[in-house]
Amino acid sequence: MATETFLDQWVTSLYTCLRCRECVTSNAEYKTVCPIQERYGFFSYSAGGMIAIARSLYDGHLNWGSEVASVLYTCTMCRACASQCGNIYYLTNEYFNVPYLVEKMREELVNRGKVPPPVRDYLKSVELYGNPYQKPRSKRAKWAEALGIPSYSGQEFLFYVGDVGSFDEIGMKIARAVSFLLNRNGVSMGILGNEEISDGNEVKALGESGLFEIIAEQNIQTFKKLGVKKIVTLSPHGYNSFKNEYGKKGGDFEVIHYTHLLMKLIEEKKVVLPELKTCVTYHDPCYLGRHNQEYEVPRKILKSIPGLELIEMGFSKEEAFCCGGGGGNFFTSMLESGVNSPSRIRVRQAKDTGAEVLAVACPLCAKMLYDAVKDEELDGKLKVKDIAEIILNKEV
Amino acid sequence: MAKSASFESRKARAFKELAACLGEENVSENPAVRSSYRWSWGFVAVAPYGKGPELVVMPRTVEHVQEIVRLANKEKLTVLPICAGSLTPSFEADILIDMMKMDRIIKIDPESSYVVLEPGVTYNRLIPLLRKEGYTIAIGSFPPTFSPVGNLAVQQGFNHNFSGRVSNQTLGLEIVMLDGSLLRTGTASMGSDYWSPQAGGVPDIRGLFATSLQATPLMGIVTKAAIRIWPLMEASGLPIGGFDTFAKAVKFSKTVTQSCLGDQSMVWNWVLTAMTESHIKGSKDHIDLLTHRMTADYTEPYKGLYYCYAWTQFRGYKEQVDCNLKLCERIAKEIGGKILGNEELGNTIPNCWKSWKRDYKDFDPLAEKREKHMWSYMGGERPGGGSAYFNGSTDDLIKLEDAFNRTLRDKYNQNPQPYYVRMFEGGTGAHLRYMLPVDAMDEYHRKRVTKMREEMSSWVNDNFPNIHVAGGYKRGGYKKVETHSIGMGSALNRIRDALDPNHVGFLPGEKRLEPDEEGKAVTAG
Repeated sequence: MATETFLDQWVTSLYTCLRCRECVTSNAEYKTVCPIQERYGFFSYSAGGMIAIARSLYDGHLNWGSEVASVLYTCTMCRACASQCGNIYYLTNEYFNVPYLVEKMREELVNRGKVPPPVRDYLKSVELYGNPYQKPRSKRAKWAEALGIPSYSGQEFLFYVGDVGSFDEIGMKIARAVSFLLNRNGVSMGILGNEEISDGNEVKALGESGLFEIIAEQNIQTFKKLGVKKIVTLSPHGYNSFKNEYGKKGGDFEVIHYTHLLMKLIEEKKVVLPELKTCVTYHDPCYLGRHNQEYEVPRKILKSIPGLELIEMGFSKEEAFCCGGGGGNFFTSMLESGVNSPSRIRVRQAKDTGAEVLAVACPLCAKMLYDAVKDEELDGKLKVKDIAEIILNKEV
Repeated sequence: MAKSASFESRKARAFKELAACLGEENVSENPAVRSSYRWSWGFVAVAPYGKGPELVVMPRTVEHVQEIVRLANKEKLTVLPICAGSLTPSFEADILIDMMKMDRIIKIDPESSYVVLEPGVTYNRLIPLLRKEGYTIAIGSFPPTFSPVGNLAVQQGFNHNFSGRVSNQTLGLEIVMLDGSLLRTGTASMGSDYWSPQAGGVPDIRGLFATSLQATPLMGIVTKAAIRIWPLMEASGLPIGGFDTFAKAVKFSKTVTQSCLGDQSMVWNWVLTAMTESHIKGSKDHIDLLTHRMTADYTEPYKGLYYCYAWTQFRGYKEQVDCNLKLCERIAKEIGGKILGNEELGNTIPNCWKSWKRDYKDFDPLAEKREKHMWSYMGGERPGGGSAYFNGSTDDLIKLEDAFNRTLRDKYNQNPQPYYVRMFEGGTGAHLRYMLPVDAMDEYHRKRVTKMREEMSSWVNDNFPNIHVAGGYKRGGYKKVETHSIGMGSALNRIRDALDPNHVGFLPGEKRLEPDEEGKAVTAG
C-alpha cells in the first residue's frame, strides 16, 4: 500500500475523485473543454485520469517511468478542469488542484530522471543559454532594432519581453507592436536586452523546481539591481510567474500585463484607435484568464475600437478552450500535431463564429494559432492578430 | 495470475492488428493509460478496483467494435465495454473497449417519442436538444456527464424519475454479438428505421443485454439504443409530503403511483435530505454535517426535519395537474402526513426543494450551472459511500428499513443511513437504496463499510427471501444466480456458450483464456 511520498498530502483528492468526468466537460457548450481529453480521448488524459494515475502510483500499482511521463507531460495546465469540478473538496482544499498535482508529479519525474527527451532538451537549453532557442544573449534584443526602445535604466516600467517575444518570428512581431504602441504614447519604459533571461514559468510547469528557483533568484537580483519597481509583460506566462511566484521569493514588484497598460492609455485617450470594419473573436490565454482571472480588459480594448464587432466563441472566458501551448507544450510539443490538436480545434471554433480575425493577447497562443490556421488551410480567411497589432493595423 | 508466454504473444499480435484497424491513436498498452481504467465511473467510493485491462481501445464505429470482437476471438482475449455511467466491476478484462468516442445522436423522433443514441452521448449534450423539441428524458442518480445508454439501456434503467410509469426506458438495441455479428432487437431487427420492442413474431430479448455490464456474463456490446423521451406538457406539479415515519411515506408514494397520479413518487429520508441540503450550499456546513453524521449518536431527524419526504412528479394538462395536486393532499392527510407549503419548504429545506423543482418539475437539470454538480459534491464528501440496492414489495421494504436501522445501530454502531425509495412499474414494487457512509480516505473504514455492505446483503438474503439484492460488483453476484436461481444461471450459461463459445465476454473472477491444441479457448469458471 501507500509509501511515504509527497502524494500523502494529496490523499483526499486521490480518494474522493469519483471520475464523474465533470472536469472535462464545458458547462456552456456541454462539449469537451479539456484539450488533452479532446486530443487523445482515453480517460487518463483528463483531470480524473491524472488523479487515477496518481492513485495508482500511490498504491504501488504503477511505477514512475516514461509511460507515466508520456501522459503527464501532455497536460497544458490550462485549468479548464478546475473551472468545472464541483467537488466540495476542490472548493475548500488546495490539494484538489489537479494542475498543481500534475506539476508536483512532474517534479517527481524530474527528480527521478524520467523526463521525456523534449522536456530534458528544453530544460537544458534554458539552463545553458537562458532561453530555449539556444540563442546567444547578444541576440536577445534583435527584435527591437530600429525601434529605439531604450535599455532599462530607471524608467517607470521594465518591459519584459520573454523568450517567445525575443526569438520567435511571430512573437517578435507582437513585441514590436506592443513596444511601439507603448513608446509612441509616452510610456516610460525600458528593456533588459542582453540581461534578460527566461521567466521560468514553463520551467516550473515542467517540474524543474530547482532550475526555477535559480532563474527566479537571478531575475529578482537583476530587477532589484536595476531598481525595477513596475514590470509590464508581453506574455501572460511571464505575467503569471512574476505575479504569483516571484513574490514568494522576495520579488515584490508591481506586475501588469501589457493589455492593462494599453487599456489605461485608451481610457486616457492617449491611443489613437483606428476605425476597423471587421469581425473579431477573442481567444482567452489560459495564463491571463483562468490562472489570473483577467477576462474583461482585452475585451474592453477590442470593443473600444470603432467599427469592430466582437463575437464570442462558445468556449470563452473561464471555459475557453486552450490553444495547447501551456504547461511547457509550446516548447516540448508533447501534445503532437494533427487534426485534433488543441490549436486546430480552437481555430475551427473561431472560424465557426464567422469572424475574420482571431484576436490574442499572448505570443505563445499567437504562434500556436497562426500555425493552426495554416494547417487548417484558412490562410486569407482567418487572421491571427495580437490586440496590439489590431490597434496598430499595420506591421511595425 | 502469472501471464503466460502465449498470452504475451497473443496480446502483442492483437495490439498490432488493433492499431492497424482502429489507428494507433485509438489503441493503448501504456500502463499509465490502462491504470486510469481500474475503477468504475460512478460515485461508489468503495467500488473495488482491479489490475486494470491489458489493452484499451477506443472504437469510433460499429465496424471497429466488430473487428475488436473478431480479433478477441482469434487471439482468445476477453473484452469489456464501458461508457460513462456503467457501474462496471473491476476492469481486469484483456481488452477494455472505451465506447465514449462513439457519440453520435442518430435520431431524435418526437413523433414517436424516442431517441436513438450511441453509448458516448452524454445527458448534458442531449437534454438541451430535447428541450428545444419540448421533450425530456429519464434522469436519475448520476451526473449529467453520464451516458443515457449506459444508465438507461445497459443497466436496465431501474433508477430514474419515470420508473413509476415504466422502468425499462429502452425500446430497442443494436448489439455487436461476441462473434462479431450484428443484432438489432424488435422492429429494428427487421430493417425498420422505427425502433420498437413491439414486433410481432420477434421475441423481446432486450433484457439479455441489459444487464451485461454488471456481474452477469457479457452477451454482447451495445452500440446503439433507442430510448424513450417524454413530452413536456403545459403544466407540471411536484407536491412534497412530510411524514413522521418511513411506513407512512412509502404508503403515500405507493398509493399515488398505483393511482397513476404521476411519473414517479419518491421517498427521501431526513438524512439524505439534510445531506443534499448542505451539498448544494457547497459550504463548510456540509462537512460539519457529514462529520456529525458519522460520529454523533443521534436517531431523531436533524434540525426539525420530517423523518421522510415524499415527492411526486406530475406532467399533464393544467386541470389534470390541479386535480392530482388535490388528490395528493387528500391521500397524504388520510395516511397521516401532509403536503408541505412553499413557505415551510423555503424555511426548512430551500436548497433541496429548489433542486427537486429544477429536476422534476421544470425538467431542466442543467439550469443552474454550478448547482447541477450535486453529484460531484457527493464525490467530494468523505463519506461518499457505498450503496446497497434492494428491490421488493413496499410492505417488505418497510419491514427491512425498520430492521436495518435497529440492526445496523446495534451491530455496527452506525447512525441512521441516508436512503431513498423509488416506486417502479405502477407501484408494483419499489427500489430502496441505502448509501453507506464511508470515509473514502480511511482504508480501514473503507474495508469495514465494504464488509458491512456484504453482510447487509447476506443478512437480507437470509431474512427477507422476497427482497432481491440488486447489482453486485463482484463475481459473487453472478455466482448466486448460478447456484441459487431456478434455472436462470443454467439458462444464461447455455445461452452464453452458444453466443460466445470462446467466452471472450468478460466475467469477473474467471481465469484467463488459453487456446488448447486445436486453438479453441479453454476457460475455467
